[in-house]
Amino acid sequence: MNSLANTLTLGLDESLQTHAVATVATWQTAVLGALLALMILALALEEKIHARKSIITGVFAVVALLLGTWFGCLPFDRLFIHLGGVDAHLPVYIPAIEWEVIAIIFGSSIFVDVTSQSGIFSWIAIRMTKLSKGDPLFLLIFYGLLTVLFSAVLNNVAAMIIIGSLTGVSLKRLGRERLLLGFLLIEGLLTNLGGLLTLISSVPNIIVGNTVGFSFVQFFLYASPYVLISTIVTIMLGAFIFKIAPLRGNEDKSQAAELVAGFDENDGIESVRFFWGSAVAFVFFIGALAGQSFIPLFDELGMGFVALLFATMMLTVFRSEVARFYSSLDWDLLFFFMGLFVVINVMEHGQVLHVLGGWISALVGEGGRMGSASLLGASAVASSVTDNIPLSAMLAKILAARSGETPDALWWSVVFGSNLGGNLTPIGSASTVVAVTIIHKYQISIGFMKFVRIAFPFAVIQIVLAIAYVLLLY
Amino acid sequence: MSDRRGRIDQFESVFKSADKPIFQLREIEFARILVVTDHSREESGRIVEQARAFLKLIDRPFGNDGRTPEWGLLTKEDFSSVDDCRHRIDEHQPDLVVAWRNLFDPVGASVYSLGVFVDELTQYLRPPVLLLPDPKLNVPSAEIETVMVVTNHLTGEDRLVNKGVRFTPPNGRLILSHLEDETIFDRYMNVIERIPEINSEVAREAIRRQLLKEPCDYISSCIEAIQSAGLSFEVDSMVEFGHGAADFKRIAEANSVDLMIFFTKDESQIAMHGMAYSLAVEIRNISLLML
Repeated sequence: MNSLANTLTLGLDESLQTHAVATVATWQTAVLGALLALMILALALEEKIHARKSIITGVFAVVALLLGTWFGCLPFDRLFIHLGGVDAHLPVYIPAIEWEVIAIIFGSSIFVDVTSQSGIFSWIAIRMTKLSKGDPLFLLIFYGLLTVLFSAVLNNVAAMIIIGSLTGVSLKRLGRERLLLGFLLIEGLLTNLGGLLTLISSVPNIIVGNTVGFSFVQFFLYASPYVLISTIVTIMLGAFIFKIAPLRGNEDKSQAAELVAGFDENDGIESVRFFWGSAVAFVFFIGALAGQSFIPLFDELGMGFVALLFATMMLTVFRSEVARFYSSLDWDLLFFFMGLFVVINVMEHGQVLHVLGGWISALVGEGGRMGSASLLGASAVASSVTDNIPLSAMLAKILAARSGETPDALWWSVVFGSNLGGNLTPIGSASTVVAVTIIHKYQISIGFMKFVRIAFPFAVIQIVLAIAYVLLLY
Repeated sequence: MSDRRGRIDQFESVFKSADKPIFQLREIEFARILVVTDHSREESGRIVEQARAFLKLIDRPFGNDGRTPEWGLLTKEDFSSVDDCRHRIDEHQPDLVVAWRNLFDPVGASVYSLGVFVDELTQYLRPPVLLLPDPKLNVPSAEIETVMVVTNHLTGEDRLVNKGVRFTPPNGRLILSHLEDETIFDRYMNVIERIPEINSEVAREAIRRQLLKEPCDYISSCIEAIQSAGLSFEVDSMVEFGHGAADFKRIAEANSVDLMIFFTKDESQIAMHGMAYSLAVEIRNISLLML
């Protein structure tokens, strides 16, 4: 190992890892800034322009690299590796990518995808349906809690797809289609709350957590009280607004119980061994992530390694089906990140983030109470109309580059704001888009303004609670 | 976006597949049984006795007050036309009508039809019609031992299965049969094979498996309910692909079935539906309960 370390060492100029020092003309920064704004606009209009996220960031990454090279602000001369005594240049776009973030997303996506195909999440969802005995209020509470839990351990989109599909089928079975809009909307809004629960629940959490160095447990302990309170408030408000009441008469109760009793939770389980193996592996996965900062070797290798380790274990066990798991991986998301990180890196060297950082500093000041509240609110508004991933990635870079220590309240403001902003509009987050897609599938009309009108009170209450929570703790 | 729609659809399929109709066992009693014959009142005695012996299982006290079924008889002296016959039956308000194939058929035991009276009765009457074989064939079993429920859509048909349960004696045998029409399946598969977007082999296997899985799941719930109720007869499942009446006939003969039960009414038409008519015409030596 030592000899290998002696012969293969990576050298990066300090300026690449912290701040760019190259002189960049103002007009060049303006051009790059305009390019960044265009990319954000293109990402917001992803559905309209019929282009995948990865294509959008890929195109902008290529253009940004060309412009950055032309403007002479990229540090080509400071990237090299010592390989057996020979200096080899490293492509400028390689260290631009946050590989730890990619490793976490790649590893956990494969792991979650393999385990979810065991039928374990459908099993849990159907068990909860039967436990509710078909009572609409209990069904809302159980589905709400499951949405939060699944969003926390899977991802928001997968959680919305699983719970949303079951909601459609079960409410139809119960003859309560009129409640579909309320259920699906509340679930959509809860996915973004669930996305706050753990460090790996959403990409902004991973980006910010990775930048600050939050441990899995630290993140969970901080976020969970807010998620719990906000979930209860959202469900209660939803039940009130959409008139989702418990069943009263015994006849109605027994009829509803009889209808949901027909659901067979074991139907989707193809292999009992796979099912239980996945359940056990999932517990260990969460345990390993929680203990990563204390477990020897893991503490040095990081969370990305833990995710890759579990993905490798699952792929080894189910090695004959590896092709299936690879094909279902969200390659678009991974290439999107790579392109995004390259764009942000160019923006960093082109002083765009420095300019934006100045604006953010004007907004947040020294990071006092008003500063945190303003940052949280502004992040929420920004992520309601555009992707929260570039937003959080940029803000993480900007906050990390601030002089002096950045108060934790500001980091949490970015996390809360970028996650919760998605609830303000139907295009604010991928999971609300899924919720609207399912709503449309059941021929329920919901346009942009109708969504905003219904979701606004929920989103505002969640954001106000988040501001109060951050201010209370800091 | 289309990926997401695909995944929503995938999970919806998982949950729809998990949503299975569960059989609910219901008590069925026949308080009024009406025998309709084209014999004279004097001649009817023997065949009525034969019918009562055949229906021994339902001819017993029921309810809290221990009532016994009330038997009525309509003979050729009681009506002169189909219309007349219908009115007379309505007056009796029976829960079960017992008749014979080719009732009042002027051409005798026609091979290609049930006769106009039976055709009319099975479609007009709300209560089930038990059609016994022609007495001249001298085939009715003395008692029912094996009952076969016949359909090409068993899933969720509690009414059909409950009738089967009611007519199956303790230590007897109830066959729950479901035959998927192979010809229709092949026709759809021929269409699917011409659509490039659909993997024909995957579609063939998946559709075939799902078509048979649904009745099998339902039969499992029937068996569970029957066993929970402490009923002591044997329940067998016959779920397969086949070619309608011919295969049902084969299964019935191979299993020495005494009574076949099936639906004859079709909400969308006034005539007896296709497979029921084929069965009723072709199966001449087994008693048929037509719902």
